[in-house]
Amino acid sequence: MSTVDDSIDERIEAALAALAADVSGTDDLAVVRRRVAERAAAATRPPVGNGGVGGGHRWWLAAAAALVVLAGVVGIVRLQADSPDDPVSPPPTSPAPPAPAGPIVPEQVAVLGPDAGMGSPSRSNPYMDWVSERPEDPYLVYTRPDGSDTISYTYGSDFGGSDDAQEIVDLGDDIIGRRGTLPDDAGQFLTWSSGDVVHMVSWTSGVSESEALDFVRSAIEDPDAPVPPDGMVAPSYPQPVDTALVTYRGGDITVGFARYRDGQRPAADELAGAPDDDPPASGQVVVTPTEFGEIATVELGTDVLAWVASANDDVDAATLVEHVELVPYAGVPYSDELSDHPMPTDADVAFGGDQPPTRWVRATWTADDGQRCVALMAGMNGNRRCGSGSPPSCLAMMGGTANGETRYFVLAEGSPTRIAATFNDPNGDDYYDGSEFTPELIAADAGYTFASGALDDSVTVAGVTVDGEDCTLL
Amino acid sequence: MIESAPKHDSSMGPVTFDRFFEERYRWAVRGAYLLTYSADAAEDIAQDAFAQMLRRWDEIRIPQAYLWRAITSGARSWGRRARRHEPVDVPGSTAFDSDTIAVRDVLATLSDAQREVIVLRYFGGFKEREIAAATGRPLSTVKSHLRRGLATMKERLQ
Repeated sequence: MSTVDDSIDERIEAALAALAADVSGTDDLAVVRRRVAERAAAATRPPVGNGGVGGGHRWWLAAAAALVVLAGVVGIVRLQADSPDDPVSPPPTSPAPPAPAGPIVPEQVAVLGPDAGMGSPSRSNPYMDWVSERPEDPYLVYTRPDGSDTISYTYGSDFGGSDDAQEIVDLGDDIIGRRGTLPDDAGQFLTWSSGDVVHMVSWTSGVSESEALDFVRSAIEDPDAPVPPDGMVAPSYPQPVDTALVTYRGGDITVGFARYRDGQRPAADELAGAPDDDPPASGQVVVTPTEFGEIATVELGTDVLAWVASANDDVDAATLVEHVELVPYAGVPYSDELSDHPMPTDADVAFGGDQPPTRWVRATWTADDGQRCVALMAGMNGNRRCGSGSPPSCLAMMGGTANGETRYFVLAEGSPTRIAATFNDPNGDDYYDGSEFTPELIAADAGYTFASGALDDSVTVAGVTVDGEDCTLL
Repeated sequence: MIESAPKHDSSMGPVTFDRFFEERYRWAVRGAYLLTYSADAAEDIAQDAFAQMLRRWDEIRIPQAYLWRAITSGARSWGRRARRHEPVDVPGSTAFDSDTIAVRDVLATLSDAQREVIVLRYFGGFKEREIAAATGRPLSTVKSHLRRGLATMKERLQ
């Protein structure tokens, strides 16, 4: 460590200490302690319905219900305001703002990949809060072919449901589970912990106990690939090419867009819970009331499905759909920080990867000088990444902000030696904040080698090998 | 809200909620302040964090890590609502020396993620693995944020 580094370290440490010393909070700790107790008491939610299920339970019940309702189609649920507070995503401390009366202003944007539909182990749950705050939480659901029963598995930082579990279950290997019953005899759930990670399996009443426990044990053995009961499969609905989600004003309302290639979108009658009316014609709105708000779907054009979820009783989802066209398909408002680089009109973004942890992102567009540009990035194991760029003229971007942060996407500069990447891996929180990195820098992380080649006359692509694994992206 | 068995805090040993609160509250407020530059928000975030901990004290294994995770999460939520991290010179606050102001101002220009890891490292005294646990980010991401954040600070402070 150099003297300069030491000096910087010391200066930062001293400055932070000085800044922090200027603030200490309320003087009387006893007063604060009472406030803390009051807040804790206030956060203890009353039972919901007749089932005596606490709010924490309700949180994921809403999630499970949403999955059933949308049956494999990308769907959104704005988590209730009384969703469980947890260290990862505590609820807002202030009430949600009122419903929009005029044009809607996007507040958050998140983009999901082609596996955003249900049934894939990552990003399969498009719930906004997970997207925006818990992107690391995967979600799996399996269904019998006739749709009669489902079993689902998720894990993450915390779930409130465990508070409602009554029965202690020895799962072996010193793992203790907590089991509870879903209200209205809808089924059961079981949670367990490993380290700081909480796991949860829930199943409907037609799934036998042995099936459920086998599934639990397989999830314990391999959280990324639990073995479903015989015959149960992940729904194989058409997967969107890409998906954009937008929430508005405090997260009360969510609008999503899914684009399906060649019109291979799910039929309206595949939306479980949707009215039995004729499938909606293009532009026709179908509204489905659910326990957590309304979901409205509308088809836009030949290959775009938009949907709106509203958890706000004061908001009519069908009315919200009127605003859908206010949002460009890509769903990515221009970032103030990137406003010098307007989004190319022909930009196309794709996300993919076989399974987590390997994910990739590719953007293509035409630069001002007519050159076709490609920018590629990949994350491996959630924390490795590689990338490639395009011709120098491809200094361009597509992007937007969410939550005050640059949320989405990329641009390349000079190929393949420099890539300025500003993106948030839709599979996780792996992102670069507008920084630049070079192959040399990547290599410095150890285990990386870099190579480049010409894809065609105008586009140069690069591949990266990570610890001997091929990470070439095209 | 009945307090139960003491937890182990790395620097305090076995600790009850009340003792943990007394020892860590001001520290938490200060940490939240460094992430938000708002004294009001900092106290609110800290109180929310302790309220969460009080409710879940029985389940919490590492209080200090849980506290920081709640603080960083609260600061992120606040940041999304407030959309600002610019330093605000509160009347009556300490007159900082020029170097402190310089560090403060550069820190304010960093991304939320970079600022988080730097605050956790230099104020919280966390190691990189502890920062990863506290922020829920992969270790390599933490290292990346730290490296990039420090590079920016070094460049602008020299």
